[in-house]
Amino acid sequence: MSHLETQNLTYVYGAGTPFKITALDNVNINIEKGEFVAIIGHTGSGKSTLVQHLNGLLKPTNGEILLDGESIHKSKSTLFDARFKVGLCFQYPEYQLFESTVYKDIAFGPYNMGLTVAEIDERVRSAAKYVGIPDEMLSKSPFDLSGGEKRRVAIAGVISMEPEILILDEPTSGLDPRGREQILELIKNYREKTGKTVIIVSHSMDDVARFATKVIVMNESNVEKIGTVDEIFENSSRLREIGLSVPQITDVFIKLREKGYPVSEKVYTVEQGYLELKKLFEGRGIS
Amino acid sequence: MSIIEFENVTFRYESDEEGVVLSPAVKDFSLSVNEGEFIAILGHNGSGKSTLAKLANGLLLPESGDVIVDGMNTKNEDDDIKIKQTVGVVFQNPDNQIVATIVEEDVAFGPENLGIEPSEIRRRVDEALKTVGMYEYRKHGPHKLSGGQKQRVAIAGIIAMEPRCIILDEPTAMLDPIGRRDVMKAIKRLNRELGITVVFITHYMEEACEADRIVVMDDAHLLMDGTPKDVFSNPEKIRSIGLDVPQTCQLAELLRKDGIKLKNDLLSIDELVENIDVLLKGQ
Repeated sequence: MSHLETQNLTYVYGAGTPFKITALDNVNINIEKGEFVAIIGHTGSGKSTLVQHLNGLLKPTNGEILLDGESIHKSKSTLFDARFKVGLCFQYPEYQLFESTVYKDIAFGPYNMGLTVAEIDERVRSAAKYVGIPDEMLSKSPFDLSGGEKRRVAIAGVISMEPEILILDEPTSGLDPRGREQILELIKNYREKTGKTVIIVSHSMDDVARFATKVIVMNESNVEKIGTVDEIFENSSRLREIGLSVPQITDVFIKLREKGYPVSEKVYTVEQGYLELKKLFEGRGIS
Repeated sequence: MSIIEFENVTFRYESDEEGVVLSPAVKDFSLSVNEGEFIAILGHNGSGKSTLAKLANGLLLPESGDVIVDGMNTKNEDDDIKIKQTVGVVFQNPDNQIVATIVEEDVAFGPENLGIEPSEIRRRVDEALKTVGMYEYRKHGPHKLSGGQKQRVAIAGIIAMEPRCIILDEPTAMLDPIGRRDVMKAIKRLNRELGITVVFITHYMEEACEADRIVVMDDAHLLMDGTPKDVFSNPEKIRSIGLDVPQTCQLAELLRKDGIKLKNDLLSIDELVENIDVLLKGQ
């Protein structure tokens, strides 16, 4: 039994109208506890529609979503549970901040779970710590923060519900390099410390290569491929065909191989590239 | 000849709270943008980049110093329309910039407001849409387009006003890799084929490498000004302000530390591969 799985998940927008679009067509994925899953695919491939099904925000036209073996749409109470067990952080979540203080915004989820004041307080402080929001910022208005800070507050608002599965839809888009790095680090640390499952939707192949333990490739409402980083990036020409790419560093090594150099094809990060090239130079007595 | 001249410009936003004075968003900033140039402006969030874009066509006015657009001071209200015709701005979020329900009507909005002849508007709209590769979508509803397509329509709307300079404020930040690539292609075409001056604000180092010149902002100041090769050959300085150098430079930098004599300004994949090849064959 998988932690989270979809069975023949199909979703049709505007059924019965001339604008009918099948956004998901018979999608089967399975996610195990503790995995770091990246979902990639071009715009319109169905990524966001898929993740919005995973906590019951959208109801499938056909098929099932199983959380620990049980359909989340089985009853009102299973659906209610799924909303909290699977925490979904939308794209540009800072647009959803609405409370008068950072504290109240992070507390909104736990408050709706019916926790006591003391429990809520503990949740807020621990979530703020995970995302690097200092105590003195909790009393500020969320609208006085920088873009990167707002994003982290919004993520804390989901983490504070302590979901079993944390889903983030393009968590780094629109941020500068330092902001991107901070968000990725906090997600990685959160997963390492809590052992919880993390799913991110990403456009950045570099980030996917660095963090994911499993990659799901979506293409035209279907699952194109599921596999490890190695398995996904080995076929760079197919990825390009479906509007994706490989990390920039991988392209360097593809070109070196074309020139006849015996370098590995499994190079996705700067560090891996460095080690591989070092080997190549040393092998030829240059260092 | 410079088309935009920033002369010791300082600007600060007003605080919502009474009695609170914010620190300047741009401080004692001077820069000349030469006609026909393609300049990228880099800097972390809050470094003053977007404020520059708004100062450049008079959406904001300097607290001290002057912004001169083609000889006209942005403080002179009589020149306001002419200045906005000379320098057009495209913003980050395409959804906030589209006003009409049909693509070609949206592109026509600017020239219509300039009081241009209908037949001339027709010509400009068609040309602008062809330049950005969106001509075949001219009868579509913009809400059905992807982010990259919408952004290209927004750019076409600016081109149709025939400005001499276009400022783009992180036009690719919200787009996927294909959307980014198509928008970049359209921008390069404006500059290389139509000769329009481009000021391009971005967070993506790889995109900045396409420019002739890079200006790096830090904390309301101009920190660096040079060719992409000049700017990225100083990775420590770039990193110290929260930015990064392209991955090809990072890789070469690590190997240089081991004594491998790669150049320090390898900005593209091809340049890096070529330099590795030369070193290995040299033996």
